[in-house]
Amino acid sequence: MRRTVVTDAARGIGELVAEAMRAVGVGVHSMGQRPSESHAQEAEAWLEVCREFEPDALFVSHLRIRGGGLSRSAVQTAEAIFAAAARCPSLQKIVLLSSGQIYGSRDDMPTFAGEATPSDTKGATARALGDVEAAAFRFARTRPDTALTVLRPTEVLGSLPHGLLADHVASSGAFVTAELGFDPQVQFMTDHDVAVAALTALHEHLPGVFNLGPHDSLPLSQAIRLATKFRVGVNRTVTRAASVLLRTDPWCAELASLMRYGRALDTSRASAVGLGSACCAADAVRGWRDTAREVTATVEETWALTRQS
Amino acid sequence: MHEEPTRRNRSLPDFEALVGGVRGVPAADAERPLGDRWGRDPELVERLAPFVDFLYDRWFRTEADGFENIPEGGALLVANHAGAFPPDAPQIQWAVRRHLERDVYMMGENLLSRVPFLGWVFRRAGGIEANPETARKLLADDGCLALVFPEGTKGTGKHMSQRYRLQRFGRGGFVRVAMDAGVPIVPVVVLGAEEAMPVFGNLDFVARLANLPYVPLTSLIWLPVKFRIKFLPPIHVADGPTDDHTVALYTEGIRDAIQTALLDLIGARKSVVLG
Repeated sequence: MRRTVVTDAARGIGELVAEAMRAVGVGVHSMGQRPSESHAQEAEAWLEVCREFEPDALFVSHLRIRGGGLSRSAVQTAEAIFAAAARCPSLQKIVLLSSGQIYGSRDDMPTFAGEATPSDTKGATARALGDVEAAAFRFARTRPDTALTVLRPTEVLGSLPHGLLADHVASSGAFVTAELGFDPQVQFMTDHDVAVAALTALHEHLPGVFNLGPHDSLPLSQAIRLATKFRVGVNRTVTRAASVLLRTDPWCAELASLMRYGRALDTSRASAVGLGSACCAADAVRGWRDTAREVTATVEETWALTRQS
Repeated sequence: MHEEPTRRNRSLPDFEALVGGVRGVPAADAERPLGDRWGRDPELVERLAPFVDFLYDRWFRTEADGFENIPEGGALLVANHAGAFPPDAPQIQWAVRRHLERDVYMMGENLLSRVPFLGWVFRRAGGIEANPETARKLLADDGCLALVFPEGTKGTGKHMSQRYRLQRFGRGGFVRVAMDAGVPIVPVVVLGAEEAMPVFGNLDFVARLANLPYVPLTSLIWLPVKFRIKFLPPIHVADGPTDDHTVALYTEGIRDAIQTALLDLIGARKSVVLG
C-alpha cells in the first residue's frame, strides 16, 4: 500500500484512516462527493484521479447514514467510483464501508445477524446500501485480481455518527425518545474501532464481507443511560401525530423498527481474521460519552480564556 | 468475493505504526453491561425470584426429576406445551436453575416481541425469539440450554377436551437445529399446565381481527394444580444421517416418547390439585 484514495477524508472515519496513513508515509488522495455532477461526469472525474494518482488501494468511506437515511447522491458517487475503479489497472484493494443497516430490523431476524442473513428489501436505506454493494460485487466480478473488502459496521458513535440509531442517540439533547413498551437489544461501536478495521483491511488481504461490532449487545435503555441522557418512552402513533402537528421530523420507518426490534450483528467471522472490535458495546458508548465530554470541556475552556482576554 | 481471507501480512512491522494512530481511544471501563449478550437480565430474574419461588413451591408445588439426563454443555430441551397462558416455561427454567444452577433460554414465538412490555419482560427473563440461526449459536457456540415447544400455539390454544393429546411437532425444525449444533435433545414432560389455565373456548373472530393466534375463554388466574416435570434420557441426533426422512422419524419418535411418559404420569396421578 503506497498510494491510497480515500473518499470523504475530511471528516469522520475517512479522516481517521487518512491521518493514520499519512503518519506512516502512505500517499493519500482525498476526494469528496460531487452531487452537482451527473453520473458520467462524476465517473470521469474519478477516472482522472485514478490515471493521475495511480492508487493501489481505495477506501470508500463517504456512505454516512444519518437520521434521514443514506442520500441518493452518495449512492451515485459510489457507483461512479466502482465504474472508474474497473478501469484502473494499478488498483489492488478496495475497502467499502457499508453498514449493518443493510439487514434492517425485523421480528423474524436472528438475534445476531450473520453475513449470510438476507438483507432488508423494504427499507429505503437498506435498499440504497444494497445498490452500492451490488455495484461493488459487479466490480469484483470484472476485476478478480483486486481484493474487495466490504465492512458492515453496526451503529457507530464518534465525531460523526454512522447509523440511524447512533445518529438518533447522538443528535438528541438530554432526552432521547424511544418507543414505549419496548427495550430492544442494540450494539454500538466507536469510529476508532471501525478505522482500525478499515486500516487492517487496507493493509492485509481480506476479501469478503465482514460484520463489524462488539461481541455483545445491550438494551437501548442502558445505552441511553450510559450516554448520560434520559430515555423518554413515547407511543409510535402519538409520535407520528405530534410530528405532523409540530412539523418536526418523525422517526423514519427503519428507525422505528430499530426502536422496536433492535439489531445485533454476528461478528465471529470478522474476529477470526483480526477485524474484531476492541471493546464491548457498553464501552463504546462510555468511550463516546467521555470523548464528547472532553470536546465540550475543551470548548468551554477556550470560551473561558477568550472571555478572560 | 468468496475467496477465503488470509492473514499473510499481519507480521509486517509497519502495521502497528499504521493502526497506532487510532487505537486505544475507547474507554476501558471494567464495568460490564447489565444482562448477557442474549438480553437476559440477572438482576430482573433475582427480583422476580420470590414470586417464581412462591409459584414453584406453594402454588403449583412442582416436583421435578430426571436432572441426570441433562448433559453438561449445550442441549435442546423439548417439552409439551398447553394452557391458555402457560406457566410451563418458567417452571422448567426454575427447576433447572435450582437443581443444576444453570440458566435455560426459552425460545418463543416472534409474536411476543411485537407486544409492548410483554416482549420486554420475555427477553429480560431469558426468552429469545425462535430462529434456527440463533438457536444454533446459543447451543453450539455458547453451550447453553435452550427450551423449545414444537407444538407452539397449536398446543396452547387447544380446547380443554383435547388435553394431554400432543399436537403436531411441526416439520421437525428443532431436530435440524440440534443436528446442526451437534447437541442432544432432552425430551421434557410437563403435567399440570393443561389444567392450570384451561381453554374452554376460542373467540376466533376476535383473534382474526386482532391478528392473534387465538383469544381464549379461560380462567382469570392460574389455578393451583399440582405440577410434575420429568426430564427423559437424551436423544443424540447429531451422529446419524440428516435427511428429511430421518428428521421426520426423530420428530415423531420424540413426540411419542413425551406422549407415552405423559400418559404414565397421568395414570399415576390421583388428584389434579393434590397430585
